[in-house]
Amino acid sequence: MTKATIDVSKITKAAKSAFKDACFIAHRNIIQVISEPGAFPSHPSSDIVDKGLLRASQQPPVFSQGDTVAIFANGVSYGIYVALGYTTRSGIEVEGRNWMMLGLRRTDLTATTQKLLDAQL
Amino acid sequence: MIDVDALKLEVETLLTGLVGTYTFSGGQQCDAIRVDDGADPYPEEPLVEGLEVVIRPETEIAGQMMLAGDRRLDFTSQVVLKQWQITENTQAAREALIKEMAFTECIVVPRSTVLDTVEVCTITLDVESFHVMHL
Repeated sequence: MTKATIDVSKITKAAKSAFKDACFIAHRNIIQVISEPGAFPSHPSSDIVDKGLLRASQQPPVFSQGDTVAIFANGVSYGIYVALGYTTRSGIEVEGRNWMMLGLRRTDLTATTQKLLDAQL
Repeated sequence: MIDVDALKLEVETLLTGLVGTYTFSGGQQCDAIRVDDGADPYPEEPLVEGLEVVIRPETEIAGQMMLAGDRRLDFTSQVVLKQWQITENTQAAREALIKEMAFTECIVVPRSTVLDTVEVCTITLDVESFHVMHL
């Protein structure tokens, strides 16, 4: 009998490292979306108006659960209204411009992680 | 396809006593609950007081390319609670719904006095369906 074994710890470590790098690419894309004209087709005349506070408040990803989960957050107080939209008492509906979701979609974390992992292995 | 009438009836039942009022220019009144399927449900926009409930059936939530140029579109339904009475909130209504209905997400956007907005709670239901669209 012959026994073969595999040490997956190096692969796991490389995968987590690739995921973290991909998340930092996503972080850059998220910041870019904030000041990109026309990023939101549903708001053709209403890009996000930011004097720098929203960009500055975008926090780098925080990793948890053994670096398998990344949290993207922005601490600015009016962020929820920009991201999710709102309804005024006069009945005006303003659609959300969720810059974090858009930045993440553009990055395609799974594909980006895969590419980075392939480069490492 | 989901049964929109059954969904509306379920929401109405769960929110008995909590729903506000639509008042039309002729003085007619009804419960402030409607289905937002793209068509205008009323010939005129009513005045709304208290809690308004908007059911959005089969809202597109995601899409992905498939083989041969097909595109899979994923849908789910949402129940949106809007509290037009600024001294009240959506808490009792959202608790009544999420206690009984399967949901994947419940997001509350609180009232802003700066923007003069109303509190809005969006509950995304766990009733996903999908269609395949040929490009």
